[in-house]
Amino acid sequence: MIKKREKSTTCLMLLGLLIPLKASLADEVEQSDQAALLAASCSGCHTQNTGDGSEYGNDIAIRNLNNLPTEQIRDSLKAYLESEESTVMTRIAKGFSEDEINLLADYLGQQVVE
Amino acid sequence: MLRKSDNLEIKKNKNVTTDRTGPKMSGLSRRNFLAAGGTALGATFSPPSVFAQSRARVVVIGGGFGGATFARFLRKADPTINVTLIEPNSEYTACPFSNLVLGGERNLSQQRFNYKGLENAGITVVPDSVIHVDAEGKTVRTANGIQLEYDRLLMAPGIDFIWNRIEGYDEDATKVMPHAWKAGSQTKQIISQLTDMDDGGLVVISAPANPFRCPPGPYERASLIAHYLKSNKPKSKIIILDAKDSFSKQPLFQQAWKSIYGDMIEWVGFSDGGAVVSVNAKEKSLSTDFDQFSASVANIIPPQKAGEIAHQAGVTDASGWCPIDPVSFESLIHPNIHIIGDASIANAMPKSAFSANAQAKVCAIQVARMLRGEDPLPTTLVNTCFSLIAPDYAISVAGVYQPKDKHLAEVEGAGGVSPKDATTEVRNLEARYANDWFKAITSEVYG
Repeated sequence: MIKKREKSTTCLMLLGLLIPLKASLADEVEQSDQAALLAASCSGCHTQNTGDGSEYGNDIAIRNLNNLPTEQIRDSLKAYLESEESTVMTRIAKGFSEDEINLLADYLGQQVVE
Repeated sequence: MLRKSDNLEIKKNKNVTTDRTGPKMSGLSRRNFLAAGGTALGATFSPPSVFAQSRARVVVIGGGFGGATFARFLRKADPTINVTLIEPNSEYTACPFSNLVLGGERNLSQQRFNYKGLENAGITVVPDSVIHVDAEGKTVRTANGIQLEYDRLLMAPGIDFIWNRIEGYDEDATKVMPHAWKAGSQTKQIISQLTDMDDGGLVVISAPANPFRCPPGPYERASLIAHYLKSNKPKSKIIILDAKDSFSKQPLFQQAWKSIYGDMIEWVGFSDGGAVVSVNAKEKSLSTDFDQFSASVANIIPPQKAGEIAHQAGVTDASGWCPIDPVSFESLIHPNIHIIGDASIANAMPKSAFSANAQAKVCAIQVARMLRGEDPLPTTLVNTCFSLIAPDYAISVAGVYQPKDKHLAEVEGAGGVSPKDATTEVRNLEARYANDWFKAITSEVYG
């Protein structure tokens, strides 16, 4: 095992130019996992499966997030932060930081469903 | 390219899971190297036999909201993982919304969901019960004698009941005094007792002390039984005998009971002698320290503990529930076993289908990361519980949770219940939210 590690370290040094590329890839994986972890609590209500054209039709009160642009999701979540009203989402949104909201909006904004 | 290196990582880790620090380090450097260096270079340092080894194996115990969600999202997080779900029932009968069945507003068949969606998602569903978990040897054995090895085990066994904690209330007594705290035949029994009851009869619901599955459940149940009685047997009465002094969303429930059902529902808290200490199934009677009640319908919701298999596996503590790491949901007693849903000690997070579903998705991502040799990432979780007081009138409680000091703690300044003096429109809207939630969660998990 130790020998292997030495070998790969040597190779990693030889491939020094490619390392930053890999590091950013790892960061990307971590960021994507972070976003998916935050979104885990959303999809129990805001599923991708209900909404337009589905068996549940259009008579839904909980907004489907499919195909919503990032800016719209971010603005809505931030509006909940400021809101004095006590709807379910104002109570939930207040538990998230601005960074978390930005990460969530970026992630959910990519949810394109045909 | 990335996919291939991920596979290698999984295979590698399988052989070295006993040492968590060393192999993880070397695993990561190899993964970095492979991803950076390309297939040809990677092969130099990977014995060919690695490719012949099997994929990472994850076994899931229980096909309820927790287990079924976990299985689906683990496949989503990494389709190369071999996921086997073991569940004895061919159909799952959901508890949320089953109080509407008692209220005569829904059929039990609408509560049933099968596992075809899971099979289509590439999950191996085994209709069997796990009777033995060997945490050291990392194997499970089923009632039909199947033995399965796992790299990581997910336990979502839900709840079991503590018989005779209320004297005289055992499995036999449930035939006369149903709990209906697992939906199905027990639910049907309450319906037939309600149907047989004369107008003017007494319904008694015995509610347990905390913690238990679905904290607002007994009070939603009383509400929807009242909804049925109001139009069918309006002279009847419901008494809730409670082993605690306060309950979830209490002011909202009591306000709505008064306005919708008048004096039909009476609640007796612990301090007023509400705790049921014994029952007599033959006479359908319940005794508290002060009183005896003879009921036409007696619904005993008994004290609870983690599902039996969790006790056998040795992942429960003295409380009867399973202590877990609040980030990875890994057992604090046995490594490589994760516990989610009602059976786990999730601290501030209540035992609900919503919690189990959210925990399952989080845990799936963490398990996929850990199988790749990466650390689990702390995150934020949500629970929301809607309670129907009438079919078109609902209230809600929401909470946001984060790992803090080895606990899942409620985030301050967030969460809370519906406003007390909201308009009927707001209550109607929350009932629509409740309906949409049930459709959404069941389609996400079983669709």
